[in-house]
Amino acid sequence: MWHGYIGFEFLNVTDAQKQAIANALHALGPQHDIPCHLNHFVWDESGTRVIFEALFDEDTITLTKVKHYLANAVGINPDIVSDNVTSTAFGLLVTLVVGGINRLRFCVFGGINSDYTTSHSSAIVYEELNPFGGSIE
Amino acid sequence: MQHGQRFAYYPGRTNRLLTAAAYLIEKYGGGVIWPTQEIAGSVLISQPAGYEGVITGCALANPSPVGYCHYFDGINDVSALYTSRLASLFNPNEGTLACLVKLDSGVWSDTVTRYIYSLGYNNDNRFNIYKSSGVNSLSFYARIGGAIVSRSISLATYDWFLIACTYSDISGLFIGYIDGVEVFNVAYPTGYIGTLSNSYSSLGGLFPSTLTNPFRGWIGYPLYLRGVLSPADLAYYTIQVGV
Repeated sequence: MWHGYIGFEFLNVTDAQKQAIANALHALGPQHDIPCHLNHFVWDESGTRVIFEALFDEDTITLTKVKHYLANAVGINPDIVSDNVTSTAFGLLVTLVVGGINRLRFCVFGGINSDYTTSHSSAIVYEELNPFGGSIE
Repeated sequence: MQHGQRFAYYPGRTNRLLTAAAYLIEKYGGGVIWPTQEIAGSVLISQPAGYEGVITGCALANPSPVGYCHYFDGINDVSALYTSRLASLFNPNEGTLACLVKLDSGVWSDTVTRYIYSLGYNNDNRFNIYKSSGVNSLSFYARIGGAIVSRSISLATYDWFLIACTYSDISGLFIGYIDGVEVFNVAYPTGYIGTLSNSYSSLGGLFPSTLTNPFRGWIGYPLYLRGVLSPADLAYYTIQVGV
């Protein structure tokens, strides 16, 4: 099991597709009585980006599995989902492509083999570079 | 049940703090403290019982001067304080908010607004204590029927400190304290409308529609009193807290 953060940015999906993918992601992470291990998340104000934290089963957040979440949401064969991987300050950023269009990006902050502190620090770096905004002052 | 019996489980200084809080809650006509030295599932326990909040994400970590507190990760952690019972207890005319705080490294200069402790009903009627977007700046904010009373003070410590503020539309004063020392004293208007709501009553962030401005650091033992805590009693409480 891995305790850390994963982030998603929805680029070209409908609201219904986004919700279907989000619902699949909400279900990840086992039931546990420690709040920081339970699946919890935050959306940015635009509703296009979300960061999840949980005690994840590593097998559920692989590139292949995330491709399946996307494929199921848009009703296509996962085999036609391609990916581009770039290295960033907060970890590897994977862009999933369908029909030549970038659909979503995701990042396992710190990498799947990182410890919690590393994943947390990476998520903080991401949030500082890409502020989630939000202020009611 | 006597308070000494109720709190006998807690050791040392934690016991002293909770006993002192129970004394203040009685003296000031009611209130709640949310002890943070343990996490019972996702339940934010309360003293007296019946005002339990909901913890989202927080971890139990890093002993404060009085025991363990809750760590908020600055990303997606928040604790909801609202219950209908707390809303019924809430006194919009006068009261006191207090809690222990320690900021995580770098937060004073990260230029991000981070909410620590909030009680409120809607955007126009609320109390917020937060680390503001300015460097080394802690803000006390009251919005009363839309009228804003706000003060920011310069603070840069990464040690634990005790925040407290009192409000009264009877005396007409909004007063802030750090470690029991008064840091501002300003005029406070009448006109708070409503009680409390889930969207504006929380620890470590706000969630009017979605979580915003999450806090990064440790928060301990938030206290709410229905009356205006006197400087003398705050001094007594500060000694029990040990900051």
